[in-house]
Amino acid sequence: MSARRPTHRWTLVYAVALVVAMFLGLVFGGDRPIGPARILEALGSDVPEEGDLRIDRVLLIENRIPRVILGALVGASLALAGALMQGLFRNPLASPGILGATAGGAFGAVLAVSLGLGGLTLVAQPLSAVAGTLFALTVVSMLATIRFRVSILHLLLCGIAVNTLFSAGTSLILTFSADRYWVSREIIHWLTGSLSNRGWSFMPVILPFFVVSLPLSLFLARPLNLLLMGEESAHSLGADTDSVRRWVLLLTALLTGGAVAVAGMIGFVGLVAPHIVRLIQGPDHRGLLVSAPLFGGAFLLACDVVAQNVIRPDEIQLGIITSLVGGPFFLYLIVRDRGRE
Amino acid sequence: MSDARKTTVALDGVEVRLGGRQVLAGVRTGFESSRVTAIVGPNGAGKTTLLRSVIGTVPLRAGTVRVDGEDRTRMPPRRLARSVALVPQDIHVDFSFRVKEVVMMGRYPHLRPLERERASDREIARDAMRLLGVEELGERDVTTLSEGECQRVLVARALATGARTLLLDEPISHLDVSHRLDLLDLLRDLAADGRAVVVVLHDLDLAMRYADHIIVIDHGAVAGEGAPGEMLGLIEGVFAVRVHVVAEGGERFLGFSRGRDRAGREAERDREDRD
Repeated sequence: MSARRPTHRWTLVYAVALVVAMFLGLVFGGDRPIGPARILEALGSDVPEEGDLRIDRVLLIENRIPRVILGALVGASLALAGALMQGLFRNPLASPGILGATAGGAFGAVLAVSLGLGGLTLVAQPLSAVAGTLFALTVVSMLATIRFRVSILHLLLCGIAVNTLFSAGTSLILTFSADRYWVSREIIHWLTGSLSNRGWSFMPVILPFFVVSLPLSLFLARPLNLLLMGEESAHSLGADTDSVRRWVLLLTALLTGGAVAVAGMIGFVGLVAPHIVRLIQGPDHRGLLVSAPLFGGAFLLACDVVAQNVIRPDEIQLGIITSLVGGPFFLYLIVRDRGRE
Repeated sequence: MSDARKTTVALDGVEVRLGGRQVLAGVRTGFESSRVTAIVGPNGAGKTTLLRSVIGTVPLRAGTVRVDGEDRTRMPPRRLARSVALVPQDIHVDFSFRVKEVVMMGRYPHLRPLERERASDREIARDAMRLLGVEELGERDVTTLSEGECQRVLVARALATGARTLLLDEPISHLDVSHRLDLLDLLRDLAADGRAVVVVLHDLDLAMRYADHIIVIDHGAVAGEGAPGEMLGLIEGVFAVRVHVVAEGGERFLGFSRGRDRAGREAERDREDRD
């Protein structure tokens, strides 16, 4: 039972997994594979102006490279958000999807699109996604916190309620937008979650949020460790629990909002990735908050490769694949906890 | 050596309301260094809330709590944690930290954000574990420990903070009789080292025998405080029981029964007879 958990070594393993997944994304990301040698050739300096090699080059630069980077960022953001939330609420079932954060973000983004703010995509979509996420999280955490104690039952029930409300709101907008093809296509994109048609232009939608949130979250690692021992313990050991809660809510909103603005509602990554990492290397957030994003990025990219290759040349929505993997895992968590009692 | 007793924590007119209920109503008392203070009182009297009013997990409606002479509400959390440490009543841990990681958490109030533990921090944590006899458990997953072991790990964590005032909320309720006596002996040693040890106890017999000072809480206020021997009459009244004192081998033990007239004059007469 007392096996030592070498955190740093596992971090390295996840980093390698992420690189491998990105590589697979480049090779198999689309309706036909481009071999490794061919990739090097296509990205090289002497590519003729016309021909197949030129097509591959454009495909790689305009499509596959931004897609694997965005996929890694989306997976990393969701996993980091999940790790932070699970720490704050001391419960492995807490995650952006379960607590209504992604639904809130999707509603925000969809609202922005339907109001015709699509032209301002770079600013309006991510900001309204973040606002929706922040709103959902604040409501859920306020309703579920009673005098220093977070009731897990309340937390999950509030999450269900907020999820349902925002999903209904999104469907309502979809109903009103049925005659506007582009709007309804965007909305469906968000509802099912996908990385298709996401190029370099979406990089500023997510990159700044992640780059700001990752280092800030590391400051929360030790206070979150204390919180896992109970709110009263954490407080008595000098953790400013109110300030930790505020920061976690803000950072998870930024991370989830950015991820949703790019890829829509991608379920279960924020739940599964931190949990698997915690099972492997223990609950210490100093390792978890670095490893979970690496693992989450690798996991999402692996799912994306599956999504693009199962029914080639068509692709399955990414959110469907993550849910097909994550759903059974979620059930496993519940059954395992039940067996413990 | 450290005979000069000092008040480390002073409460004055402390009022706490929770969910519309007055839990503490004008509490005025203090904790002194170099002695074991036991807080006793019926269920729901406000003992735990009293400890919480000191560490700041309940809001004060009125009154002041001074810690080492300073207003608690103005102290940053980490400085407060360096002065007062708590062993909470609920010792259940869900997350599989290793024992030594848990004890090391006691050093948190001494570390700057992102700072790594120094050798001196590890030394202090190790000393605390040695004192509590949990050294061998260092690498164990804390979720696999027995309740007694877990209790001792959390006391070690409180010690690792280096705080002069130790608050323990019902620390012996999870322990068997042998570990109870061990822990109370340890608390006496810690007080002898100059710490102010404050312990909420339901076991009145052990409270009387191990504490230097007793604070009796009833209905959210201090019903009385003083040396254990002086508190027997008050305890009979507050708990509505009769206290029987049994002397054996130079020690006095307490037993309890429902007095016919609810802890009335009979018991008092008995005590006068003995004295």
